[in-house]
Amino acid sequence: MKKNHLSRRNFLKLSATSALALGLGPVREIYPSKAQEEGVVTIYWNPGHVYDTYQKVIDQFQTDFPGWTVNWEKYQWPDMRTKLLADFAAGNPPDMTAEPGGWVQEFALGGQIRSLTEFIEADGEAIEFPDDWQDYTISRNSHEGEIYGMQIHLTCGLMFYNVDMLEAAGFPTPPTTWDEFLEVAKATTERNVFGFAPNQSSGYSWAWLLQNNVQYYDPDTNTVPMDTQDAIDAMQFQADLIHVHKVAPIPIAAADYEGPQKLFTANRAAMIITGPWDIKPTRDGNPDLNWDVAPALTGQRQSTFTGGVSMMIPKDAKNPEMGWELMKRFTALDVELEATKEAGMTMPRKSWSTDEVLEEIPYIAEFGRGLNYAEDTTAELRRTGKFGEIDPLFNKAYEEIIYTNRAADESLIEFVTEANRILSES
Amino acid sequence: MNVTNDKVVNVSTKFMTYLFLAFTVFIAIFPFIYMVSLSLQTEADIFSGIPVIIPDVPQFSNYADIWDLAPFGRFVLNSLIVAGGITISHLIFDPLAGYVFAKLEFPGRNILFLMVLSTLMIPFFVRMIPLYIMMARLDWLDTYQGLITPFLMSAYGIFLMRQFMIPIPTELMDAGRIDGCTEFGIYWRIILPQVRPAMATLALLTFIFQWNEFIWPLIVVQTTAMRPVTTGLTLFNQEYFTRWNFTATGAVIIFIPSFLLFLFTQRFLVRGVVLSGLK
Amino acid sequence: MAIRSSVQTKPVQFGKYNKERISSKTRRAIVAYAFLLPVIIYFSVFFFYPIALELWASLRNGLPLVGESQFVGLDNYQQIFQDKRVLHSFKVTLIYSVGSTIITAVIGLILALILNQKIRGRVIIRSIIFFPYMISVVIIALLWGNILDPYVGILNSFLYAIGLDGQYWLTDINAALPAVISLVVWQNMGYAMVIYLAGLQNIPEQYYEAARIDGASSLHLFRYITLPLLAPTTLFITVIGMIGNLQAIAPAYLITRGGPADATNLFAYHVFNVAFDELRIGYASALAFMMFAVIFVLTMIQFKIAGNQVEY
Repeated sequence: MKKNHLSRRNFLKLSATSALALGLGPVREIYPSKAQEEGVVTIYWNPGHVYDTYQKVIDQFQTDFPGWTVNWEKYQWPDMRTKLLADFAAGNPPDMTAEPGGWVQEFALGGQIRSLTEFIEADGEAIEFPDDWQDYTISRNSHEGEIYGMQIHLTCGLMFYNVDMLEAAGFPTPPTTWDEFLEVAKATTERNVFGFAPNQSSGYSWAWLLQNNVQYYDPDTNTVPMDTQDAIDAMQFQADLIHVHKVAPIPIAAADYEGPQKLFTANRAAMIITGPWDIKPTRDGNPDLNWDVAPALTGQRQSTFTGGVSMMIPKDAKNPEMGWELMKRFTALDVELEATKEAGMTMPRKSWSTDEVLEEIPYIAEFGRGLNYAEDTTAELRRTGKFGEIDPLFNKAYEEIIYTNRAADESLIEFVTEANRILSES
Repeated sequence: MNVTNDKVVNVSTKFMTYLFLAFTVFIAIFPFIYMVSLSLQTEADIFSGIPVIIPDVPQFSNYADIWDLAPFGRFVLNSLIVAGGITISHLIFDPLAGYVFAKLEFPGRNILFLMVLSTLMIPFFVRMIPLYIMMARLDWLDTYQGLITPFLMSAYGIFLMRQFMIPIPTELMDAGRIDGCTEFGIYWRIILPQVRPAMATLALLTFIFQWNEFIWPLIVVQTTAMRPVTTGLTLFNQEYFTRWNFTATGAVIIFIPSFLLFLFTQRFLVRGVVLSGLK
Repeated sequence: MAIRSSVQTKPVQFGKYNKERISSKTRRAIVAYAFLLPVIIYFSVFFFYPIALELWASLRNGLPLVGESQFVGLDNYQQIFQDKRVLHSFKVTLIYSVGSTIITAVIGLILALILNQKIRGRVIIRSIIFFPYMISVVIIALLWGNILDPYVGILNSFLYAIGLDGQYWLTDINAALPAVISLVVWQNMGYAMVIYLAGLQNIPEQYYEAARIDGASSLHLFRYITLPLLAPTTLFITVIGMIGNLQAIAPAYLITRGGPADATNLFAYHVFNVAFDELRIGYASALAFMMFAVIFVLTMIQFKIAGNQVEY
C-alpha cells in the first residue's frame, strides 16, 4: 500500500540519520557547508550599513582575486549574535564579522576570535593601523595586550536641536552647560511639545554620566563606582527633566530607537541626543525642518558616549586572510570619506576627522569634532567577563529611575551592591 | 420559561451578539488595514513622526519595487517549499500517532504519551544548538532538508489529533475488524475520514506556524538565496530604524498564502456527518 | 442529562488473525508500537537527544556546547532560588499565561458559538477574525509597537483627536503587562475560534434534535450537550495554551524587551537573554529545565482536573 511504502522509506532515512547523529558528542569540529566552499568568503554585516560604497569595495575585491566571491550576509544585531553563537558551537563561523561594540572583548575573553597581531605585523604600517585610529577604539578592541578587532565606524551622541524653536524661545545659540540646557528645555516646552526627548536605552544616559565624571568600572578596586554623588546627581537630573520640570516625556519601552527622532522630526521635541544615524531619517522625514547639531554639553567636563561597529575574525574561520583583506579595504581613508558622503556615517581614523571634505557635508563636521572628546565607557568592565550579567542590572536601575521616578540613590545603591557582589565572586 | 421572556432575551442577546461581533471584527481588521496603509507610504511619510492612515500619494509601486530590493520571490518560494513540506509530513505522521494514543490500548501508553507531550514543554531555543550541530555534521546546513527535518512531526499535532479521535465510537472500529479490515485499513478507511475537520485545522495551523517560523531559519541558513520570507524581511530593517513601508509591503504579500489556505480549509469545517459510518 | 457512550476494551476477534495463537493483547501492543515507530525514532533523535545535551550543559559553567566549560553539579539549579529577577519573571509569566489562556479560550468559544450559526457572511467574518493569527508575530510586534506608541502612535493620536488623553500603553509599569496580554488575546482569539469550530462540528446533530424534542431550551442545550462534548477540545486549548504561553518569548523580545523595568520580563525571554546575551549557557539550561518541571506539573494538574470527563 502506498502509505506503508512511504513509511518504510522514511523509516530507513530516519535510522540513517539517527545513526549519524547519535555518533555525536558535544564536540566542535569544522564541517564544510556551501557557504564555505573553495573561493567563498563569508562575512556578516548589518543591513543598515549596506552602502553602495561597500558594494564597490566588494566588487573590486572580487576583481582583484579572481575565483573568489564574497557571501555578504546581513543580520540584525540580536539575530547575528544568536547565529554567531550557533556557528561557534558547530565550528563553522564566517570569515569575518561586524559587531555593534563590545563583542570583541567578550569573544576574545572566551577564545572565539583571532588575535590580529600577525596581520598587523605584516600590513599595519601600510594602512596605518592602529596609529591612525582614535586611541580609545584600539583599547576597547584589545585584550591582554593584543588587538582583536578593527573599528570601522565611530559614532558619538551629540545634540540635535530645532533652530527655529530655540530662537522663538529667545535662544539664538544652543546651550552649553546643564543649567543652560534646563533653561532652554523649559522655554521650549508647550502643550504637546517637549523641550527634550530622551531615549529609552540606558546607553544614552552615559552622556550625562561621563559629563559628571562618572566611571562604569574601576579596575584598581574591582568595583562599579556608580553610587557616588556625581552618579546620583547625573541620573536624578535626567529623571527630574521628566517628572519634576516636565520638559521631557517618558521614553517608550520598545525594541527600536526611533522615538526621539520621530518627535524631533515632527516638531514636537526641541532637542534630542543621538548619533549620525538619525541625520538621514530627519532630513527625509521633514526636509523643511531647520535644525543643527551642537557640541556635547559640559557638566564637570565635556564628554559623550561613543559607539560604532567593529570587525573581527573568528578563530575557526576558513579564510582569515581574506577576511583581513576585506577589513583593510573597508577602512581605507577614501572609502571612509565616500561612505560619509553617501550615508552620513562617521569614522574612526584621525585623518578622517581632520579631512576638509567634512566641512562640506552637513552636520558631519561637528561629529568629527565630537569624536575627539568622546569616551568609551564599557571596555574595562567587559574585560572582566561580567559585563553581560551587570549591564542588564544597570538597565533595570535606569528604567526604574526614569520610568517610575524611583529615587536615584536607592536604585543606584541597589545596583552597585549587586554588581560588586557579582564582581567579587570570581 | 415563558414566551415573552424568551423574546426579550432573544432580541437583546441578538443585539449584544451583533455588537460584540462588530467590535471584534473591527479590532481584528484595523491593524491589517493600517499595515496596508503603511505598505503604500513613502519614506517621508514613514519618518515624519506623524501617523498617516491614508497616504497622500499611495505608492503602489512599492509592491513592484520590493521584488528588486531583495530576492523576495525566492524567499516566498523557499517558504512555500519548507512550510508545505512540513505540513504534509505532519498530516502523514501526526494522525497515526494520535490514533494510537486515542484508541489503542497497550502497555506503556500513558507514559509514552506523557513523554511525547513533554517535548512541548521545552522552548525551541533550548534544543536549537544541538540541532544545529547535528545539521552541520550531516552537511545539511543551508538546505531545504536542514530547514524541514527538525519539524517533521510534533506533539502538538499528535495531541490535537488524539483529542479529536477520542470521541469516535469503538463500534466503528469493531465493525471494521469484523469485516476483515487490517489494523491499518481501519485507520485509513474508517478513522481518518471521521476527522477531516481536525486534519484541515492541523494543516492550516501547521502551515501558518511554519510559514512564520523565524529562529531556526535564522541559524540554519547561510546564504541569502535560501532565506524564507521571515528572515528575508529583516533585510528591510536598518540599524536604528525600520523601513516600515517595505516591511509592511512584504508583510502583506506573505500574508496571502496563509489567507488562501485558510479559505481552502473552511470547506472541511462544514457540519460533519459524523455518525454516517454506522449506517 | 448526561449523554455517554462507552469505550469498551473487551477482547475482540481480529478478523483474519484469530487463527494465530498470539494473544490479542500482544497483537494489539505490536500494532500500536509498529504505528508509533516513526514517532519514537524521530522524537529520540530530534527531541530527546538535544534535550539530554542541554541537561548535560545545565550541570556546567562556562560556555558548554559553544566553548570550554567545567562541571559544577547542581550549582546552577541552586542559584535559581536566590535569583530575584528569575522569581519576578516567573510571577510575570504566570499572570501572563493564565490571563491569556483563559481570556482567549472564552472569547474563542463565544465566537465559535456565534459563527457556527447560519449568519450571513459568516465565512468572511471568520476569516477576518482569523487574520491576526496569520500575520507573522514579527510583523505584529512592529505594527503594534507603532500603533501603541504614546507619542506618534495612531491609538493615542485618535484619542487626542476626540478629546481624551493618550495613555502610556507600553511605558507605564502597570499598563504594560495588560497591554501585552490584550495583544496576545487579539492574536489568538481567531485560533481558539477555529479549534472550537472544529470541535463543534464533531457534535452530532442528532443529540440536539433529540434534546429539542424533549423540550430543552438553548441554555440547556449548551450546558448539557455542547459544553461537555467540547471538553476534549477545551482541554486541548487550555493545555496547549498554558504550555505555549508559559514559554512565550515573542512579545517580550519583539515589543517591550522585557520592560519597563522588568514588568514584562517573560521567563523564556529572560532565559534567552541569560544564554545569548549574558553567555551564561549552563545557568540558562538549568532555568529551562526548571521551567519544564513547572510546565509539566501544571499540565498534569490540568489533566487530572479534566481527567474522567475526557474519556467517555
